[in-house]
Amino acid sequence: MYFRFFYGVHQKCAYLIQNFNTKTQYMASVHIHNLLKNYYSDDKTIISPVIDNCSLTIQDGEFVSIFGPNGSGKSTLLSIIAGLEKPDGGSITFDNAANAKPKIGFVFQNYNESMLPWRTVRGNVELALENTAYTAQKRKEIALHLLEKVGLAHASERYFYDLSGGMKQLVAICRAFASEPDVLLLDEPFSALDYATTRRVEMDLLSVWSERQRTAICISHDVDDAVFLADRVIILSQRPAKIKGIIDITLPRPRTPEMFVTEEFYKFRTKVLEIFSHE
Amino acid sequence: MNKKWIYRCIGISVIIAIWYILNITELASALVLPSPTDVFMTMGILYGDISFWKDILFTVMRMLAGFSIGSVIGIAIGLAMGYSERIYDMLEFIVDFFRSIPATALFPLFMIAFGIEDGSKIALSAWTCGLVITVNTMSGVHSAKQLRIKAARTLHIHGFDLLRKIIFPEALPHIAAGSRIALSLSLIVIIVTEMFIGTDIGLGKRIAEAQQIYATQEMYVAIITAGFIGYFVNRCAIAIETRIIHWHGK
Repeated sequence: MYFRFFYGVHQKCAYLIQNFNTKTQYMASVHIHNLLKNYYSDDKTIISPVIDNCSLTIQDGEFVSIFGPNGSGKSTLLSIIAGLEKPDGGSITFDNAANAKPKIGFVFQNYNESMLPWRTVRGNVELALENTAYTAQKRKEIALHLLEKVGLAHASERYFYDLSGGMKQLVAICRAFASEPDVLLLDEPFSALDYATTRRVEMDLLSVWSERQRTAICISHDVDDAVFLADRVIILSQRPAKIKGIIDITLPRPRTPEMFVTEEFYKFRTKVLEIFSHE
Repeated sequence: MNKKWIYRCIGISVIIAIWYILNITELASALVLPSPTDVFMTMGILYGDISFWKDILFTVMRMLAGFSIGSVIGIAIGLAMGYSERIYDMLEFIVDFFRSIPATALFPLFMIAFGIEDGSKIALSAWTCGLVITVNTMSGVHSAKQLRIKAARTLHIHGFDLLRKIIFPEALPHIAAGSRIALSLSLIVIIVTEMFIGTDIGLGKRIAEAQQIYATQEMYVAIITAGFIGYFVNRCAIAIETRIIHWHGK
C-alpha cells in the first residue's frame, strides 16, 4: 500500500515537472546597453577598447547572427553576455528570464576542448542536467530526446572522441539545449566543419531550436551561415566593435537548404556584405 | 610483433653470452660474477622455496601499501594546490624543498618516529610517492583545458563538482604518469629500507643477508627478482592506465 502511495506521488511529481517543462517559457530578451570593454596589455597599462559603446536589444525567442571580422570582439561580447567576463562599462539585462540568474547554453567553436572526452555522448549531454532536480531516468530521457532530434540517438553510448567533427558539434548543441537555457549563445560553431557538414548541422540546430524557440545569439564569420540561421543579422565593425548595421532577414521559417539558391537569400546576403565592406 | 620478440631474445642472449665469457675467462671473479648456470640453478631452487615467495610477497605488499597511502594524500594535496592559487603559494616551496631531500636520508628519522618494523618503511615509501604524485597531480590540474572549465561554468558547475567532474579527469593522465614514477621509487625505497635492522622478511633483507654470507648467486637471484617485480608492476600500471584513461591521446 505504501508503495502504491509513493508511486502515485512520484507519478504526479513527474507529471508536474513535465508540465512545468513544456508550459513555462524560458525565453528572455536581452538588452545590451552602452557596453564597453577594454583590452589590457600584459603590464596592464596600454588600453584599447574591444567593444565601444554598443547597445542592442534582442527579442524573446529571436535568432540573431552577429557577423563581423576576426578579432572584432565578437567572442568577448558573448563571454560578457554569458557572465564569464565583466564589462568595463554599460550593462546587460535579461527580461522575462525564468531564472533569477539567466541560464546560458553555450556552444563553443572548439568542441574538442569544450566537451568531455571521458564521457559518452549521452553523458556529455547529461552534464548540463546534473545540477537539476531531475531523476537519472528523466535526465536520460531528455538527453535521448535531444540526441534523437539531431539523429544521434544511435551513438548515445559511444565515447565522445569516437565521433566525427560534425557529430561532436551536434552533441555540443544538444548539451547547450539540455540545460533549458534562457539564452543560447553560439560562438562560431561551424568554423571547424566543412561545407556539407555545416549545412547539415545547421538544419539540425534549427530543428531543435524551432522546437524550443530560445533566444539565440550566433557569432559567425561566414555570411551564408549568418543569413541562413537568423531573424536578424547584426554587422559589426573592425575593432573596437561597433554596430555598423542591422538587417532583418524575412525568409520564411522553417528554413530549408533550397533557400541558399533563392534570389531572396542572395538579396539579403548582398545587403549584409554591402554594409560589412562599407567603410 | 613477432619480429620484435625475436630481437628482444637476441638482445637477452647477447647479454647472457657476455656474462658467460666474463665468467669463463675469469675476467671477473666468481665472487662478483658467478656463472650464469649457477645463478639459474639457484633461481630454480629459490623459486621452489616458499620462504622466497614470502619475501617477494612482503616486499610487494609494503611497496603497494606505501604507494596507496602516498597516492591518496598526494592526489588530495595536488588537486588542492592546482585548484587554489593560495594553497599553491603556501605549499609550492615546501613541497619542492621536501622533494629535494633524498628520501633515504630520512629513514633513520622515520625509524624513530614509526618504529623499526613495517611502519617506517611504508611511511617512507608513502612520503616519497606522495611528493611525486602531488607534483604530477598539480601539473595535471594546471594543464586542464581552460575552455573546458569555462564551458562547465556556463552550465553552473562550480566548486567541488567542477573539481570532481572536470578537473580531476583532466588531471588523470598526469596522475597516472606520476603514479608510475612513484611505483618504481616505492620499490627502491622498500628494498633499501628492508636492508636495515628490524626486518625478517623481504627481498631487501634477502639481498643484504646473501651479501653478508657471500652467497652471491642468491643475491643475484634476489636482484633479478626485484627487477622482475619492477618491470611487472610497471606493465600492470600501463595496462590499467590505458583502460581507465581510454580517451587520452584521442
